[in-house]
Amino acid sequence: MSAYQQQILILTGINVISALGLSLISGFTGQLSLGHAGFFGVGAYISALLTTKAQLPFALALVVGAFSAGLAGLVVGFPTLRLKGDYLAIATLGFGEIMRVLALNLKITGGPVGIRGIPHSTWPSTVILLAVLAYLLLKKLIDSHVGKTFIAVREDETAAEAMGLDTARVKISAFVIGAIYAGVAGGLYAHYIRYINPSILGFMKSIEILCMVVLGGMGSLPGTVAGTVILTVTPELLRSVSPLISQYRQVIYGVLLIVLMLCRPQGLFGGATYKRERHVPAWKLWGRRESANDIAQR
Amino acid sequence: MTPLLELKNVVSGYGSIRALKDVSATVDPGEAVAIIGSNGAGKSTMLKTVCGLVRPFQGQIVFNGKDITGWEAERVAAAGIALVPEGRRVFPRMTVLENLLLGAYTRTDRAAISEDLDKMYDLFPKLYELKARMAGSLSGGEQQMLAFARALMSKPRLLLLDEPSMGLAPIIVSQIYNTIATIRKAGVTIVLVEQNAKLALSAVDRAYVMETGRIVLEGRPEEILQDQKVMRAYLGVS
Repeated sequence: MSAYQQQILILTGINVISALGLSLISGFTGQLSLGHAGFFGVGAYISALLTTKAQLPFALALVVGAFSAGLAGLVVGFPTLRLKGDYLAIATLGFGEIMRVLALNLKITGGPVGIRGIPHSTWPSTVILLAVLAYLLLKKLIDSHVGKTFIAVREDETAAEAMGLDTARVKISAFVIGAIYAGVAGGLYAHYIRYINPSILGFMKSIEILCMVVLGGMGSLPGTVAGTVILTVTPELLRSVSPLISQYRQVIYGVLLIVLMLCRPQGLFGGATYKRERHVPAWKLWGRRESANDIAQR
Repeated sequence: MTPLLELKNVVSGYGSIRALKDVSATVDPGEAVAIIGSNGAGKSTMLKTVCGLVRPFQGQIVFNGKDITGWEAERVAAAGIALVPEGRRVFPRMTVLENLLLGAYTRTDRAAISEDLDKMYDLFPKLYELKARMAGSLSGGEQQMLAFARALMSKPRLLLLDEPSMGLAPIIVSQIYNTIATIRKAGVTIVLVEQNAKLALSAVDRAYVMETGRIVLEGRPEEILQDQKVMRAYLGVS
């Protein structure tokens, strides 16, 4: 594998981890967030500061960075609890911008120059391993009884509340877990690129990740992965086809997004949950044995 | 007999709007009580205030001997009050089974939950056939059945029904009311809110008539039905 292909692989893996986090927040819990790059940036900056300034080992710095991002998720989660839809989107957008302006102006973050000379500690195997782990953990969470509470909040918050769900806790959990995912991705990114500046906290970065989640299909894990892979790899593929296409690759990319959204507004995998009948036997969920009904039907 | 639910001089509403103005009412254990009245009389607000979705400004709500005034909805639900919301509000992109299990969210006794799941399938055999379907793809009547079953899955002491006949075909409505009768026989205390006064009065022991945020009449169904003046003035029935 060439160094270039390896770079695409690593960036895809990092984006997958980050997008999975946003998938939980926006796709499964229905809380539209435009500040995901803010969490990503917290993970990147904190872990980079720890390895460069405090000489901490990478693994520890990655964990601390991820938890700092989780803490940021908690901070964002609380005041925005009462906000829904576009209001929440704007509040999270504000969070992302605050993080960018902070990174731009603080001394410790290096201002517009950012942080240089971060040790190279992210290898393809690390990224692949963590991406797979991130996917499996999230899948386990979503399939669990707790996971259903996220979806219930997305589907009908008032009804969920009337069922006895603590919807505030559900939403904050989604933000915290999603932010931790972004924080891990940020830490990996910083220790692969080895140089970070406030541009990684930009609004467009949040939108990019959101596009991946929406394109793949809100509320679908395979969709999130597919959306991320497509949107990360396609611009690179277009670059290598011909000089003409290479020149216009951003235009083609934009057109592709429009066409996909027109053809499949629910996302690539989004419709699957609607149409496919899921035969989840009750006993699988609750240890239930065959009911009188089952036996009577034979 | 001590009432299961008691509202004492409850004032409630949204923002600066008072939809309930000094409402006092009681519901005894095992009783079915209807709250009837025209549009905007405050019926739904009363239910929402009881189950904690709307905070009362003044007054007291006592359930099962506990003062639940101002409790969060999830705490009220855990205390044993279940709501079948207006317009059903099932979780559309979740399966029927997932909807039912979420109804039992406040419970931890897994064995009993799976027993109750079987009971729900006995009560609503259609739901068993549809258990793997997305709730959003069900018909209105089926969704209402699901909303009932989902509420019952919490094993409530008190079941609040908000306009269960709304937007359903007459034949489905009579099915729904048969179900209400079955639930009553099982010993669940019911508060039923309806615009369709005659229908509601046919299904309960006692009723309150509401008008612009106040209770204007209380009595047994036959008493209210006889009061032609009330029927015409408040319920638009002649």
